[in-house]
Amino acid sequence: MRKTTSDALSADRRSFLSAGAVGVAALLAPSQAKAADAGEDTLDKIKSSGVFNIGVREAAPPYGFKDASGEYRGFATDIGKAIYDAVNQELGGAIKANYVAVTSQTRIPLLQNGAIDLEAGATVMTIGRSKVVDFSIPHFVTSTSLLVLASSPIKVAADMAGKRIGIPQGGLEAALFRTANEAGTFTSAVKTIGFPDHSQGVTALQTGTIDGYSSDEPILYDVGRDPSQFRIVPMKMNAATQTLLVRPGSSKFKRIVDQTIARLCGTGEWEKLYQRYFGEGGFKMPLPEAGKVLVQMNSWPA
Amino acid sequence: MIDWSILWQAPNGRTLLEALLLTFQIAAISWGLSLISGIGIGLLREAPIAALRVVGTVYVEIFRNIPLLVQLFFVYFIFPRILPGFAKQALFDYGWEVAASIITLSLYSSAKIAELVRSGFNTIGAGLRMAAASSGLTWWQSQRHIFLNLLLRTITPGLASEFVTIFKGSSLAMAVGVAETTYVTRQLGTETFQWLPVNVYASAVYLFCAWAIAGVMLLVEKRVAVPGRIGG
Repeated sequence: MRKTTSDALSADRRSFLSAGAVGVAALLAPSQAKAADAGEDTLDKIKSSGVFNIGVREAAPPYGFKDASGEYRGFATDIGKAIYDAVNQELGGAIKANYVAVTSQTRIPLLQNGAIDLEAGATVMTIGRSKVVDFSIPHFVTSTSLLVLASSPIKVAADMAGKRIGIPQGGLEAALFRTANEAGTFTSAVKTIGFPDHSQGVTALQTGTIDGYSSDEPILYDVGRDPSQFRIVPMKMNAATQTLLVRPGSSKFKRIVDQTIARLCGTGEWEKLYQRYFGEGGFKMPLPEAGKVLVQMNSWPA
Repeated sequence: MIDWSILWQAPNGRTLLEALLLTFQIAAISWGLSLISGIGIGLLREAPIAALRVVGTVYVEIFRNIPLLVQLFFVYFIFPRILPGFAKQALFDYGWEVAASIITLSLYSSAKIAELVRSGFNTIGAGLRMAAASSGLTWWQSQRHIFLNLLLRTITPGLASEFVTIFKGSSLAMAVGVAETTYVTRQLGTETFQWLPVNVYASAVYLFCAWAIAGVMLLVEKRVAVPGRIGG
């Protein structure tokens, strides 16, 4: 009896320890993996495969969304379509467009493994991110704002001191508030709570679980359209330049991407897109000064 | 460019460590609460009074059958609305996100532990029940001194796997913005785009900790095994 018990125990122990060893090995395996096509210019990849895989957002209006008929649309998606046209023209007109829905979590792995050749979304440029991917010239500029209930005592950014402020998960708002709290911008630290999507943040605001919801200004205009319920407080704490993502080492491809954005800005197409998604055709957000400057800077002479 | 150093660079190293401690905090408190209430609810289902058995059954069926995430949103969004102002403020000061996650995990797991306890009761033969009754023990005395003692030892493997489930379940707290390990690693991934290091880190942390928990429970299992039964 005694012997059997100790035998069973050591057998259990052995299988238990080997389970751990296998797990560790499995975890380290992906670190040996290399990008599928490192070194190949994306333009050459598109040429040889005949397909241009465009990463677009499915649920990030007005930048990218799926409309009622199931078609991908949006400000950044439409810029992606213009880039497809330019690439298709460059390569002789036989290239197929393939739209792939991406999220803020999947965009980088998919770009790295070649599943998408371009991410046409609303990605903010940061120095840290520039170590991993290449950026196009900026296609949009925005800033972080605050949405509060119409009855809220928060009138200016400084009133956020000590309050509970919701932010979107996976955005750069967390870093913005962290830096401001460390620098003592507010008289008492702002507590941030990250929500998986904007609608949950707005629900939390309506139920009184948070005092404000902070995000990209156009998104707040979109979710907070009802002025009898909501008010937008400008924070004036940052400027976020947004970019399309390109695989590193693809200068031929990146050149077409940049030229397309410059052409859209120079020909007035950019402002038409703005009006369609943000302005008259959307939620009537006036074109900010920074946006006008961006268009001027991107309007390269022929 | 894969850059592993983002895992320990300031302030990331500290943030990840705090997140790990928060993961442990949520898991440990939820274990304690769900073990105690799980045994309590399990006993209710064996109680000599019919009304109590109904209460136990209703509890188990409600909390076992609603998905954890749905329960979490329900608790998180609804509770503050029905609480009086001062209680709401106290919860918010403690950290309502963490509290809501612990409450939800405990409700869900206690229902599952209650089921384990009930199945443990089924392993106790009629002979032992009759022996207990004929020796003059009251209902509570026979639970306390004989049945609970035996059945907790019988269901130890089930409890071990429930503990591991709770530990991993703590990652669901990210849905309401708790900065535990899953939340912080995803945030770090989107900020730095270094997805490989952060995903390897998160997987390694959960694997290693869950493995360690299972290891400890394996030792407990051997020690408390009922002699003469399988594994004893």
